Amino acid sequence: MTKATTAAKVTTAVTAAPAAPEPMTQTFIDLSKQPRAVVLTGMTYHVFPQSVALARLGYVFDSAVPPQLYPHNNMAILHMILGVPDEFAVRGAREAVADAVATEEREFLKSVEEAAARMLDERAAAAAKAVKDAEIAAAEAALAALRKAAA
Amino acid sequence: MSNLPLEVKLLGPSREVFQQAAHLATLGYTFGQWQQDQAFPCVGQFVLFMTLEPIDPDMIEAAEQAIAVAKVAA
Repeated sequence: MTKATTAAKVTTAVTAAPAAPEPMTQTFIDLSKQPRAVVLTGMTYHVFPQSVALARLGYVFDSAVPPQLYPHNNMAILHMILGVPDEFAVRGAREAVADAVATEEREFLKSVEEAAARMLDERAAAAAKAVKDAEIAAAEAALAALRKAAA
Repeated sequence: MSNLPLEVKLLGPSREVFQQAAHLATLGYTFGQWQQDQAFPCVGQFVLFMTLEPIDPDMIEAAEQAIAVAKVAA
């Protein structure tokens, strides 16, 4: 009886063990089932992020129909089509990224130089203050000695 | 392309900058927040600022709805 109970417990424990994790699934986008053209119309703060989402799904801005922006009421009409940005655009984007990297590096170096200069100034000020403090202490000691001698 | 800058400025004719923006979008960039309220062209040129940040999930859903609408219309 004891053995049977033990066996049952073991069986239960095995059954209750967590199942192996399901294999990760990957989403494939069947471009043939996507519409060739999508038009986004609305407020710029809605359609711009939507256009980014579409770009990541394989859409690009339709070069034949330029984006129509209406600053006075913040509306925009963006025409997007399935495709890839042309080589010229990719090169331009890479150059813009390289420019931004160079700018960030310049700003970082500038901030480091400014911080170093600030630190040196603070050290020089601290050293000057220490010298003055020592001079004042020496003068006070001399005065104290004179008062003692006069008393 | 590792060590991507947080912000990239695109300047040029609208056709070019938007094509470049589409490429940057695939690298993880999105349009700068401030610009989404005020996307206005300069004289003959556009200035677009792209920043590395996630897209609002609601906007992804809206984009999918736009695709659905386009499918129906097609």
